[in-house]
Amino acid sequence: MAATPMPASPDVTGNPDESLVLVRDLRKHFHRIAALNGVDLEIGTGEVVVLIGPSGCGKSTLLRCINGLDQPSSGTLRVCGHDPTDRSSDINVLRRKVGMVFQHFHLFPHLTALENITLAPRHVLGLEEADAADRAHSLLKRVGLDGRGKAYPAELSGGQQQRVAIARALAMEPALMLFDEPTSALDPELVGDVLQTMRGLADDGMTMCVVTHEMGFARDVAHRVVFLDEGRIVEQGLPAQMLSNPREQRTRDFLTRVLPGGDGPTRTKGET
Amino acid sequence: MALAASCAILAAGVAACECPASAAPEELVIGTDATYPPLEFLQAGRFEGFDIDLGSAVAREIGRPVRWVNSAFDGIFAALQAGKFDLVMSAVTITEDRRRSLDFSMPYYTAGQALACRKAGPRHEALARLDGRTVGIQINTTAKEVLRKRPAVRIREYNSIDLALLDLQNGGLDAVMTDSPVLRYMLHRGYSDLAMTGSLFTEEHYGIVARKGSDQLLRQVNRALIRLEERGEPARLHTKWFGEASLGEGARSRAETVRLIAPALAKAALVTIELTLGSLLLGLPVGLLMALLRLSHRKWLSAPAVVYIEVLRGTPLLVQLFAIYYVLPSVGLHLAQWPAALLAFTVNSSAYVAEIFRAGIRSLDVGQMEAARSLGMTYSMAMRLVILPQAVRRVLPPLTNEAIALLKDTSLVSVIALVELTREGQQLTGALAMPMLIWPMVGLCYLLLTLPLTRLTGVLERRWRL
Repeated sequence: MAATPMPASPDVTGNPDESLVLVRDLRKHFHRIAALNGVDLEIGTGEVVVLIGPSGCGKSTLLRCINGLDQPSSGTLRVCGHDPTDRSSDINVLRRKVGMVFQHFHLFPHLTALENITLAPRHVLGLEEADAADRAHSLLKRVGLDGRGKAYPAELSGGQQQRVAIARALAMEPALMLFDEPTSALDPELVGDVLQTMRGLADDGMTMCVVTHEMGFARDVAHRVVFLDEGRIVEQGLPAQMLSNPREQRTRDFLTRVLPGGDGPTRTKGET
Repeated sequence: MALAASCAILAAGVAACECPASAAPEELVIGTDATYPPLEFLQAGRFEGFDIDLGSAVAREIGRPVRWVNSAFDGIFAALQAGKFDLVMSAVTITEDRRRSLDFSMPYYTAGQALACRKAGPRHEALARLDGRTVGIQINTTAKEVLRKRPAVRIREYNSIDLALLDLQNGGLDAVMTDSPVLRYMLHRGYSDLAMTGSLFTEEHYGIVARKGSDQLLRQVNRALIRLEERGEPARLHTKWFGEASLGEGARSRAETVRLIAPALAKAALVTIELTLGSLLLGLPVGLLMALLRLSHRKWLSAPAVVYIEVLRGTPLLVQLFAIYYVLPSVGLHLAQWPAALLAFTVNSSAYVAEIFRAGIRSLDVGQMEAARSLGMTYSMAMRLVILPQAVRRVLPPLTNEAIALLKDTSLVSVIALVELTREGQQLTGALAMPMLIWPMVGLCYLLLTLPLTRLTGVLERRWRL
């Protein structure tokens, strides 16, 4: 129903025949309520897609279906060459390739930042402890937390915790990163560092699917912005066009509500 | 001891089994409740008393080596029915009720109910004088039958007779009624403010008890009793245990008593510790397994766990002990006291531990499991590495509670005749008649055992501070 998906970015490193994520007519019902009502979406390798839309529109459910945390009611899914709905295949193989960052971080509170990052590489990938620690140290540096490896989550600010969570997901060397409102639970002054980290990831060519209300990030970093409402993709397109001149009335109404003054994107400090 | 019909009925409900648990068939195993001096009691770990001497003499006459097994009176007939021993010799009064489910030898001793009163107060010689008075008895004994004939007498029942005597001494009762030889012995050893009134109110005959159908064994026992009678053995034993000389030196000094009972309490405390630690070490993993099964989304895994937990939490531990030790033999599964106790406490505590773990796991944010799974961990890996380490920290205080409760619940094993702290306390108060000294010492032992548990929890909580 919506506009044709953007073609995959030109710097394809994976399977050139296939998008990293392919969603066809995806539907998800919770009891009688439809969270997803026929979604089609493709994400190419290296592409940064930002999902926007009012709360309850199905953005999070879509992300959770992509890595198998939720099972769709019907439709086709293809993620990194796997079908997350196929019960005969090992969902964990897919999840190793798909990193997920949650709104509320969900760091493991009984482990240090370093242990949070090394846990899965050691036990899922079978890395030696020293190798996993090396990887974790360089990731901590990458997210701007060099030297905080021994801190427990409770000793870190929200923004620092979220950056550890990003490092934890990156430690699995995923092909795709999913962000589910990564800055919504943060105090405003802590948002910038997290967005900066995500921008760095995008610059490095990571394929990303981001659910966010940060329109500045969408405008500056996204290759494509997708607007969902009532479980459907209403329209999608280039950020500049989507955010300043959307075709659909529903998109315009939504943007008017989320953008102060209703006259275009605001830049978050730390992003400039 | 004229303990009641209820015991016999309970015992009768337990199917009889003809195969004794003892390995050596020629050994004669006799059960007794060694808290009843001077008939049967423990002195420095040895069985002593009139019944013990006579029973051993009977075994000698029959030509079989004797082994005495200590068993609380509540469970003694059930144990006999279950084949835990061949005979019971424990001052058992022959009654019509008991004859329905048990066989008795010829009477070997005649006793009666006697009254004790305070020396300073009025002496109640006749039943009629007790109208409107409060009389203490041991629960379910034949003293009750005597007192019931006077509806105006108020009866108060105690778990053991020394508690009734203590209450009488403190002024809480007007009199205490119990078997004459026991009352005489106890009053001599302690309770110097109390005195026995002269007359006996009943005539009761003690008999040696066997399972129904043990006719051949009972014939041998009766022949042995007759031969011993001809040689004057019972009369000699009577002088030894009921004569003036038997009463010996009377009450001991407190210091001497403490010296006497300390080793016995230490040994009993060891049993308590072993049983508690053993069932904790086994109950924790079993409980954890049950919690994980109950949390499973697969019905065929969770349903059996729900049944296991609810049945074990919903039935008294005492009943479970009974079932394992006395009922399982009827389906061919004989467990010795120690494994039976360990099994009962393990399964019982595992049900509580399971619910503690389940509550701990469910108290965690579902995001923890989702975060772990989103990193590619399997369910069991996420449980082991992420969920359980956090859940265990959270449930440490309730687990400590459970461990302390378990420690104190081990006192229930006296029904299957294992001697731990509480049972040892009963035996010592029975033998020494010094409850005011012994029970505080028993309490102190329990406190000394629970304190390290509490400390350990404190140390772990500090180390795991998040």
